[in-house]
Parts: sequence; structure tokens; C-alpha cells
Amino acid sequence: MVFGGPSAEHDISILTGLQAARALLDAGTDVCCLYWTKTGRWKQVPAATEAAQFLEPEVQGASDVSLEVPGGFSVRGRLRSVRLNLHTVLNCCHGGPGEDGSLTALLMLAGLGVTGPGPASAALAMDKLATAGLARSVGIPTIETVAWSPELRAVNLPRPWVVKPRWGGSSIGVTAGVDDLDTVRALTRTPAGRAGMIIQPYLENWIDLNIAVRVWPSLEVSAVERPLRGDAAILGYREKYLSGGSGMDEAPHEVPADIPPVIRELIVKHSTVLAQQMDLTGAPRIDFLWDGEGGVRLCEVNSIPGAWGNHLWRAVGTTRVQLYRDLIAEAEAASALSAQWAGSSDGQALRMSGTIAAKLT
Amino acid sequence: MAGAVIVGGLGVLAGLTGLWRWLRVSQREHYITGSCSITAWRWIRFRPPNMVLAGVASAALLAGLGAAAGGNDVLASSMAGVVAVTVGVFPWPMSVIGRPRFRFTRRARTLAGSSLILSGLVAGGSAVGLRWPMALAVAVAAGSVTVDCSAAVLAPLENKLLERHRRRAVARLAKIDPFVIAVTGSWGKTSTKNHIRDLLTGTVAVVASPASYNNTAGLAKTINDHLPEGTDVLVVEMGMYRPGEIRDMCSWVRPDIAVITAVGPMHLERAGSMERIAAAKAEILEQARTAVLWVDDHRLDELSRSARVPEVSRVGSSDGSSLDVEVAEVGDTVIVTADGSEVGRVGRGSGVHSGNIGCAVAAALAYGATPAQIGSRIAALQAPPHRATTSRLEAGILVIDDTFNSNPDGAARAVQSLALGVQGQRVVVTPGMVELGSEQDRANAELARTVISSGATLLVVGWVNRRSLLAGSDGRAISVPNRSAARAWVREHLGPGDGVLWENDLPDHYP
Repeated sequence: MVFGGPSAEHDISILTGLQAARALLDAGTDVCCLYWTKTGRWKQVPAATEAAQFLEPEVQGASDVSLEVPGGFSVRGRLRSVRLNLHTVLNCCHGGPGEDGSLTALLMLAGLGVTGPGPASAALAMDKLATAGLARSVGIPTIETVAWSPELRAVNLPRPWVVKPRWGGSSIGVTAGVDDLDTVRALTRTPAGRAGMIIQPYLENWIDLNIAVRVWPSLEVSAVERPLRGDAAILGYREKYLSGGSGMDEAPHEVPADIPPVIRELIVKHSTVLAQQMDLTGAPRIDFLWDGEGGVRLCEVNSIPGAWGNHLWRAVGTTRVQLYRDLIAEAEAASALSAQWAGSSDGQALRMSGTIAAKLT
Repeated sequence: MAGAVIVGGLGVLAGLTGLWRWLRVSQREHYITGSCSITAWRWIRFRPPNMVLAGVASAALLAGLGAAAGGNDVLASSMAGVVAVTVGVFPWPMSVIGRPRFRFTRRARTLAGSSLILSGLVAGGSAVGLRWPMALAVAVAAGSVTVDCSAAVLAPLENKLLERHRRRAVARLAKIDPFVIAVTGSWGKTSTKNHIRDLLTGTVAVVASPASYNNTAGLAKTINDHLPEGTDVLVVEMGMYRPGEIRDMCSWVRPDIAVITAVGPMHLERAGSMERIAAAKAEILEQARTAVLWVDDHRLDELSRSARVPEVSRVGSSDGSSLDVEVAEVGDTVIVTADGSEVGRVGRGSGVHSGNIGCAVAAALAYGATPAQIGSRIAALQAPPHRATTSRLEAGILVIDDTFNSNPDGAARAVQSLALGVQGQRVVVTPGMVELGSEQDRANAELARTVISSGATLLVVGWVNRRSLLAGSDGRAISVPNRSAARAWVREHLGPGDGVLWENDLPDHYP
């Protein structure tokens, strides 16, 4: 189990990780909890640790862990390091390098199986602009999107706008009701917006609908959920994570959503097409907006959703523990190295190359 | 023979128990040399049974040494047994295991190992001239001093290790290069630090040192373990045990903005005088670009006029045009004003102190945040746990938890909050305040007077300040031996509509 990580969603990731650890522990699975600190260090923590412990300067019972590539994780002892005998990692990191494929690549190169999408798919899912482009190319309706750049002088989108960080899965840094470029420019200076921002029209009165998809053990979709925003203009971090106590699992929502069958079918179709086209392994959550009539638009993809979208799967009869076990089994079944990295060069180029000095002349 | 085995067994048991007990005390007192001996003396002074124990142990030790010199081994052995038993239970009734428990950190393990070796050396050295039961008794009697000496011997080594951490922190700080805001003050440091973080969150990437980390080791750990790449602003607090300490920290942390929240008699016994405390706090300004000072405090008011800092932000509650940030308590609300217009407001129900809010807003504005950015965040500010935080028990009793507070000003304010918030019976539970040097008796007597005149019942916990609290209350206070007795008293006597203030809490190695 890996959670935490240098990301704005560090805290939520701890909750996802601790929930998964506790559920698996209670189900009799041996769990090794690896906490990735905000500064990028690794600590092994007791699986039954409580969330409040992570507010302390030092988590009780934590030991330093190092990651060797290739090799894997070792607990640093006083005299020697002890290799942790791990095969597969349940990645519970949200946002930042934990979700954008960086960690997945690192762990795969270290020789470990990792849950969730491969590095390239994860990176693609993290980029809202690229996801929208790919979705449009396979016929999935998306929200018109303009990428911010300092040279941008005019935005040809209906006002008001929603401004979102281009990378990142949560609603951190999402601002609705913006209608001038100066405000956008100011937002790009905030920590959440510095890496890049996108501008979309604010679809007033459209309804959030979320669904989760998995391809293992077979192609399957979860129930459709309608998160409840309260009075907020957009479904924000507060509504998602701070209203219930442990992430979207307990946030106010309607599952299954009370929507016409045709809309449900549309969402199922779009989400399964997208999951297959983007090679989204794991159990990504795909968020849509619905106009209340016949119109549906793709909003974004969360390749590692909060609490692993447990509440969506529970509604179709998949228990929490079953979901985790399937994720792990899927990661174990995948080859240690991603299919994208497969194939070995044959030495031909080296044999033919001659000397380096000759190449420089 | 059987007698010797019993005496030997008792000696080893008493020696190990003693070491364990004093190791825990040393850890609780941040391994400061002499803290075990001071604690032992405190128990002798405030709890009469320990005076008897110490007297009997000393007499038995002397008698035993005399008997050994005279060749009376049987008497020497018996005396060694008496020493083992009396020292084994000293100080009575301080818990051996206690709470919080002894934690086996790297430093604690080193101290435990070296104390054990030192004890062995004392016993072995004594055995050159004495028979072993008596030699063991000498080592047992030296328990607290042994741990203190080990801490003293290890201090240079620990400093060297700390220096390594500090250098790593210096390098990391240079690489990440955040804007640094440092907060000091006799009280309100942690609250103000957290407020500054909460005001800037969302506008910039900001990190505050965790908990109450406020010395060199804490700063180094904050920077090494808690400061991510890409941080714009680092907010730290700096505590002061001795003059020069803050200057040392500033020499490498280099605060851009320095905040002083208050000057009070905390740690007066180490610093010497109030003037030296004020001067030591002012060290934080030496390299800063902006000073934020709470000028309701007359010493800080003077400092705001004399300090050689490019920019000074004066924060206060008094109605005066010379303030940069003004806080006003209107009913249940704190209203913050800067440059004549309101920046924001917050309810006092969340336990916040207007001075801390004012200083935090001034620091955020000095950093460059706009009133529009921080205004709405002011309403959400909250006091950290155990600092005048209010809750209501199921039984309908209002509880004000101010157990992390130990300053006269804050205590008086908490008593006032209790008086304002509770119509029924009111009780203030406190062991009094410590580390106030020559001010301690006066400050505690004053606290007792404040409590009694507010119409509340005063429950005095423990013995450390019992005399001055009873004197201040004209004998009207009720004494209980410990916190659990106080809890039982509260449960028995209070009901719906009543309220209790838990003011300060001392660790269980205080009598």
C-alpha cells in the first residue's frame, strides 16, 4: 500500500490508503503500508495507524524506507537494511507524481507491479486538455477548452468561465464565475495554477454525473453517481472531501443517480470507449456533466479516484475488499514491465557503429 | 548468603527502576542537564514523604559506609538494603512508567546505554573500596545524578549530530529558497504561526513548522522533513530558552518578516530578567525586512520605535491612528482593520485571541497578500487544540480546554471567557503556572485572586503551586492530588448549565 506523496491531495491520499489498509487487514490480508511524505521520503507505518497521526511531526511506529531501482523497498535498520518482500503495490496516491504516472514508472522499473493505469495512460488522464482532445477524436462530446498561455489575448468562449489547473485530478484550484483574462492571469500565479490552466465555459445548471470503469476481471461499469454540490457553483474540494470526513465515500451524493435510462446508457458507452481507448487499467472514475435533457459532456478522468470509488462499486455489489483484490490481481497479471516498454534492441546499431570519435568528425 | 542475594536483587531492581524513571524525566525535559536533579529536589521540597525518604536513604548510606569502614559487613548489607528500598520508591508517588511513556528514540537509547554504563562504572569503582552490596547502594543512590551526568557527557556528541542535520537543512533551504516568516513571543507563537499559514493557503504554497517545533532541532527537522519543493512561504516559530538562541536560529533561517506576539515572564528563571527576555526576543528582528509587533505590550511598543528594521507593522487593540493593523473586540466578534478599512472578522467562539489574529493579518499583508485575498479566510481561523478551545460534554457541562497555556495573560482571559459563557456553577482546575522564576508565586497568587473574584471555584491540582494559589484565594481553593481526582470532583459536583476551565497541565513528573 502506497499513499501520501508530494501533492496537494496528500491528505486525501492518506485517507484512501488507510481505509484500504484497514479493510484488507480486517479481511485477513497481510498489508505493508508505505507512506510517501510531502518531501518525497518513504516511511513504513503500522497498517492500523489513524489519520490524525499524520498531523504529528513523526508518525508513531514509522521506520525509514529506501527505494532502490531496480530492487524495490528496504527498511533501513541501524546496522543493515532489510529488503521488503513486496510484489505488487496498491497505489493510493492522488494528484502529483503519485497519480501522473511518475510513481508508477518508478515502481515498475524497481520491479514491482502497480495498480491503476500504466505511466503513459496515467499521464494522459492527468492532462485535461489532452484527455479532451483524445475524447473528441473518438466521438465523445467534451466541453470546449482553451489552454492558458501568457500570450492569450482573447478567449472565444461564452462567459462566465470555469478556470481549472490543466494537470491534477481534484477540484483544488478550480474557480467558477471568471469572466476576464486578468482574473485568469492572477489564478495562474496561485500554487494550483502555476503549472498551467485551462478555461472552459461555465455550464450553469448542468448536473455532475460520475461513473467508474474497470477492465479486469472483465469490462464492467459501476453505478452512476450524482454528487450533490449544495449551494456551491462547482463541485469543490470542500464538497468532495470535507463534508463527510473520509473523502467522496461519505460526501453527499445520490447513488444510483435518478436519471433517464438513455442518459445512463450514453454515459456507460462513453466511459467504456474512453477507458479502452486510453488503456485505463485499474478502476478510474470518469466525470461527466449532463444538461438535464439529452446532452452529456465529458468533464475529466480520475485514474486513482478518492477511496477508489468504493461507493460506486458497492452499489453494483462489488465489495471494497473485492475491488482492492481485483486491482491487485490485475497488476500482478500485467508483466513487470509495461507493454509500451517491451522489445529489446538487437545490437545491430552498436555493431555497425564504428568509433564514437569517427561520429564526431 | 540469602540476605546478600535479597539485598543484591533489591539493589539491581531499584537501580533499574530509578534509571528508567529518570530517563523518562530527562526525555520530557528535552535532555537538559540537571533536569533530573531539579525534579528530584522539587519532590523533596513539595511532598513531605519524600523528605523522609531522602533523609532515611542518606542516613542509611552514611551508616552503611561507616559500617563498611568498621568492617561490620552485616550492618553494611542491611543499610544497603534500606538504601535500595527507599531510593527505589523515591520520589513517591511519581509514576515509573507514566504518561506519555518513555519513547525509544535514537537519542533516548544512547542516553539509556550511557547511563547504564555510568551506573556500572560507579558501582564497579565503589567496589574497589567497598563490598559489593554497599557499592551497589552507592550506584542506586546516584540514579538521577547519573542520568544528568550522562546527558552532560553526551551533549557535545548530540550537538555534533544536530549540526549535521542543521547543515542539511541549510542546503535544502537554499535550494527551495522560500520567503520566511518567523514568529516568536512568550505566548501565541503556535496560534499565530498557524493563522499566517491559513491566511496564505490558496494564494501561495505555504508550509508551517508542525506542532510547536521552535528550536534549532525543530527547525532543521521542519526543513528536512516537511518542506516540499516549490514552497513559496515557510512559517516557523522560534522559542527562547536562553539569550542568543534566536539570533543563532536567524543566522541561517534568515526570516524576511519577524513577528513578536508578546513578552512575558515565561522562562524567567533561565533568562534572568524581563529586560533580558525582551532583548532576546528582539534578536528575531536583526535581519528581518519587516517587523510585526503587538504594541499593546509596552515593551514591544518601545521596540517598534527603536528597532532598526526597514519596515515596522504596529498591531494593537488600542484606539490609535499610529496602528497599522487594529483589532477590536466587539461583543463576540474580533474585527480586523488595516489602513482604516475592515479586512475581516471572526467569532471569538472559536477560541482565537485577537492579538494573534492581528499579528497574523499584519504578517500576511506585509508579505504582499491583499485584503481581498485574506479577508474571507479570517472568519475561518481557529485556535489550535488545547488553547482555550470550547466544547460541551454530554452532561451539558461547558468545557474550556486551555491546558497548553501557561501564561498569566492567557489564563486571566480564559477565566474571563468562563465567566462570560457560563451562568451556572464555574470551576477552574489548574496546577498553576511554572517556569516564571521570581514571578511565579506572585503570578499564581494573582491567578487565584482572579478566579475567586470572578465567582468561580478554584481546584488546585498537585503541590507545585499549591501554597501560592491557596494564599491568593484566601484559603478558599480546594486542593486535589492529581488530574484524575480533579476529574472525579468535576463529575461529582457539576451538572447541566455549569462550566469548567482546565487551565494549564503539568506533566506527571511534577509533584
